[in-house]
Amino acid sequence: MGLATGRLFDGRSAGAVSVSVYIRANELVIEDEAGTPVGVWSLDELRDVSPVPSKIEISLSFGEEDPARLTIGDAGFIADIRRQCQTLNKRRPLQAGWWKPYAIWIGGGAASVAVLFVFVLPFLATVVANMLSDDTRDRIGRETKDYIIKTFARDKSPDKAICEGTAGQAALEGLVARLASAEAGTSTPITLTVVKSKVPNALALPGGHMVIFSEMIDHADRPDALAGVLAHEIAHIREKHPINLFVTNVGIATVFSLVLGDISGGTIIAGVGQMAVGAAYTRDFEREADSLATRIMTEWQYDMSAMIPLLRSLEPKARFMHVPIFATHPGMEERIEKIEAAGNTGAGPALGADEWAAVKAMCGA
Amino acid sequence: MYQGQDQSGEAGGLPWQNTSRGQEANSPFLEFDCRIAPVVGRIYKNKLLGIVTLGFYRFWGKTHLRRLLWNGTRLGEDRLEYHGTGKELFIGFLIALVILTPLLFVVGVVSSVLALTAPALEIIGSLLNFAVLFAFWQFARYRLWRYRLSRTSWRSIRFYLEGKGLRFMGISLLWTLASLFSLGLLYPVLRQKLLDYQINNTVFGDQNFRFTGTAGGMFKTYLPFILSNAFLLSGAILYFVFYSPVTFSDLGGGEMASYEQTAATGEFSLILMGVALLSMIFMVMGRVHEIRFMAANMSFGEARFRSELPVSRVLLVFIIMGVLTIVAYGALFMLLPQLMIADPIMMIVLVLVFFVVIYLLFDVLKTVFLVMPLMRLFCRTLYITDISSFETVAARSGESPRYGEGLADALDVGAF
Repeated sequence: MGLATGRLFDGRSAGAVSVSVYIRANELVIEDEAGTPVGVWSLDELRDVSPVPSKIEISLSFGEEDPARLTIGDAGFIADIRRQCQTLNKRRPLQAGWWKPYAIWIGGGAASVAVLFVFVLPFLATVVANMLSDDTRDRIGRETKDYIIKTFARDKSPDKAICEGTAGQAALEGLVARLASAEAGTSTPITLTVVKSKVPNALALPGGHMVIFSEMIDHADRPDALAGVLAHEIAHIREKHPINLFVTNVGIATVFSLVLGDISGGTIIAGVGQMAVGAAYTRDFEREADSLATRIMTEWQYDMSAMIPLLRSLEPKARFMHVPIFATHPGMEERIEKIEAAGNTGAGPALGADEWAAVKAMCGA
Repeated sequence: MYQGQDQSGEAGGLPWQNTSRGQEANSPFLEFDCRIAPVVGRIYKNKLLGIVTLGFYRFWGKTHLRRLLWNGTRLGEDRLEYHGTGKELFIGFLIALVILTPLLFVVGVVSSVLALTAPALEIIGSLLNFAVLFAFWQFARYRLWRYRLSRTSWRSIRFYLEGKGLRFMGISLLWTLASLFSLGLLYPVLRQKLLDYQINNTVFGDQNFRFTGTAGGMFKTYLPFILSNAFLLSGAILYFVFYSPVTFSDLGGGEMASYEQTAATGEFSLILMGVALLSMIFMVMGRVHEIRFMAANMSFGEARFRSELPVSRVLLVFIIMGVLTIVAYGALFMLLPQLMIADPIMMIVLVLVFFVVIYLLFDVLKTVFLVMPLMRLFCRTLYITDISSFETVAARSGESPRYGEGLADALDVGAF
């Protein structure tokens, strides 16, 4: 086997030692210029430290913790050693217990994030929701409402998107006032706006702003069904859920963008993760609102079970959002079961026949 | 802190033409001969595995990329070696997660509460948020350099960065404020303070690098560019105050703008873009001269340095990158309407595919046409008196950070 020259760096100084190297049996022998052996290494121990194997230069390492390097620029020798040492560009075997730091810190990281989501975030959100002045909440609610109305108005003027109809509006405001005055209601003054839209939905916004979409009224076959929806939204306002949700979303976004970094599709994944976690919070809020709504309805002796056909009629349109983990509302069946379990809450009706007709006529045919 | 005198004053010429220490720095020092193909392959692999692993591959991906780039850098006749591991980066990240997430989280919530409570406080809230992030970023940057240097070796001897991240953060915050309040006049002092702390704390083996550049010297280096920028900005301001038909009250809302006003606003933004572009060019020129100043005032043992980094070549690299970016995004916006015509599902698929391609392509463009050419230029134009000072260094005994870069990763400091 041929003799090659190389330079040895011993890890103690940057000075080069000129050496001769040759392969004997399964070993690499290194001798200094006087022919004195400097070291003998088993070929299995050797590794090429270059990330891209080269044919004309090679830098060899003798062990995981050994800083010494042997540099050789002899193409013939490099070809030889590559042929005889199959493990030259392989990873070194993992040391025992390699997984321990992973286990400790993954556990710590997961615990930290869990504590944040389960305790810190809900706590902070509640504190913040209570800290804000009524004026501030009112301002945020009003801005959000204007935005929603503008979105649904599209190119029409925003006023066109709002359903007028003085009698209907008065009937609804009366109903809301009655519901809010219940013990499980709220003292926050409520402003109600009916918006023309094909989306069957109702929203509670910060500061006692409530938005009902006309399609929701169309879906309600009895005044008590609509009363149930209004009671549900009043419960949200009572518990300051909208502001709470806002703060929670800011927090979740912060955590996700930190954990996933902002590269390699992390942003997209973060969005999906945020939807899943955020939805879990709102599911809790919805359960709370449903149970409070039942109490309000009972107090006024209105019929909560009128909501069941309304909920069922909403279901097919909402199917997309019903992958359980992403759904912002509890499963429809669960909600219906809870309402049925509450038993007979009263007979109603929540609105007189004239009033109900006026409400139905608010947004025209 | 300063180890020597300001040589530039006596030399009489440009500040970096510092030849008063006898021997001239004429030998080549660094060479960047990293091959492009493995780097591009690695970036694609990193991105794709990053998507599959929800971004968690990035620690190992970065490590592989760095091994390539370090290996592509030659100091004298020997290559640098990168010793970092993905495991170190990953665990560093987890440590940062445990310690820092709650902190950053509270800051985020507090500032958004301030923003909600009163619109006037919104500015304070975002300033607070920004200040905290900026401070962390400075600290993280220092720790990141320490990690990278401690994982870099040449001829079996490691580099290191001494000093304290907090101290660096303090210097940086103080002089950034000073530079803001002086309308940029003290910016060169900020740069000098940072270089001074960083270079004097940089170690190879048991030997420190030395930086003797003074604030005065740095000021002279930057002066032409500060003056040009001041001239440019004051000219622009004067123009808009006295000659433009658009007054500032017009710009601040009001009713429908008239035709002339609209045209004037177009002119306004055109001039603004021109000013910004020129200002950026002055900035790049300033940075290039800073690098030369740095090299001229840096030493390692007996070795002195000299940089001949050419402004024109550096600008050319930026221009090429700018044109490529415009072409890439231009193509995206030209093709998107074509894709819209296709049927809806195909359109969504195509747009997604297109987005991913552009997204992957941009990083490759940045690396191949910006980072690598600048690195190549910098290395090729850096000269040394004599490399033997590096060859006689002994290993340093001492600690090195066990895990690296956690916070820096969370804040996405540094591309590699």
